[in-house]
Amino acid sequence: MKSLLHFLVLIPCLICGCCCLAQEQIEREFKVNTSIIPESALLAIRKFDLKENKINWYREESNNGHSFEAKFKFNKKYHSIEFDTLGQLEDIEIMIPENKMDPVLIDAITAFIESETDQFDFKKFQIQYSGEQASIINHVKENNNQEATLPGIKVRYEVVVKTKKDGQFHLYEYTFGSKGNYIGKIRKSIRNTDNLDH
Amino acid sequence: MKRTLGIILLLVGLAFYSFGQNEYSAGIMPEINLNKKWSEKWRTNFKVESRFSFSEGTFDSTQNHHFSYLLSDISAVGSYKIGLNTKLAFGYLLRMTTSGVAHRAILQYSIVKSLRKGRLGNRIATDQTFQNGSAPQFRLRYRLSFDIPLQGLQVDAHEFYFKLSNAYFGIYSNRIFDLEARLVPSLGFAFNDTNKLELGLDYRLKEIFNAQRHEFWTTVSWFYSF
Repeated sequence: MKSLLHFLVLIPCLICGCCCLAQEQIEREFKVNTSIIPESALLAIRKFDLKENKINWYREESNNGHSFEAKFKFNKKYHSIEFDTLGQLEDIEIMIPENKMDPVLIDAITAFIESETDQFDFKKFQIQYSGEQASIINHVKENNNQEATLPGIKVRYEVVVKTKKDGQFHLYEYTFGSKGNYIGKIRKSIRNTDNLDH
Repeated sequence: MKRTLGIILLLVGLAFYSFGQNEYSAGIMPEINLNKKWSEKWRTNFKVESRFSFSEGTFDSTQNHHFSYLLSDISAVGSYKIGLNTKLAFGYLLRMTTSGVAHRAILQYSIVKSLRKGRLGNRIATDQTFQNGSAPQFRLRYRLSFDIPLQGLQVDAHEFYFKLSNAYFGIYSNRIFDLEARLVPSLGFAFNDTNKLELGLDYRLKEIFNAQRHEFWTTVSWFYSF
């Protein structure tokens, strides 16, 4: 009887507790079927001549609205193409391994980050293209070296960096221009790891 | 297809045959994890966990099915951040069983790495358990855990995720060394980043070098950070 009482007290506490404390702003992405993707976005992606099952479509929701994103691997690199709700291309992001980045660009980025941190570690490099849809898609399809040479295409680099400054650890996403010129940075939230630590 | 089914049935049959006289126990293990952040670097994990047995015995003969309370653990583990996702922690656990009370000192190092999809956690820990009338027990444990969202590339609010953890224990007590292995697949739901509920199956293979005992626990774990 005592054991049943223990059980009956602990389980409801556990379930009620987590439900009552679950109020917060929601920002999430979830996989969606192509049936809800605007036709113009589907047409743009078809230019990459990929099998449909190689493309993952996501709907990204936040307090500011929503967008659609196609994620796939092309030329051995992860591509992410974002469209607005009408199917207009917003940008293309391509993940690049550190050793495939232009060394001159890396030096410029390193010099800048070094100047404002005590210690840092690169976590991710992405090249971001925005501008006229047809030009960007042709450029990305044909130019595997990610050299930004075509007019009408804006090129930026997003660099995720783990930093240490005055004993504090942070994760930042820096944005640099095509020549490695600093544009801005945002501090990324570090996700809670309690369920993997304990 | 038939061949694959045949192989699976053969393996399951072999597993049960090999378990034979081995002892087993099965039950439920609810757990509440409260995590208090004191500063950017210091946190404390308060945990309450209980175990209730539903069934025990040997695989091929005696089997007792009854509901009974086994034990409760209460612990407090303080952690210090030594990297972005790296922590050094130490703490104390009080185990209350029907036959007495045990005290456990814990020291652990954990590191979590973000992957393109999901996260990988490594934990190395050591603990020492002391109980009146029993020899002290020393354990060295390693756990590899992995969580992966069922939607998107990371676990967002109001999303389900799958978690798998695999742990190995080296145990030394009373001049006897033994091993233990655990495998815990769980389905989790994130109400938000700081509030998660997990439902899992915890399989434990105990006393690998000796009698070999199998434990099957249904786990219900709540993680809340504040």
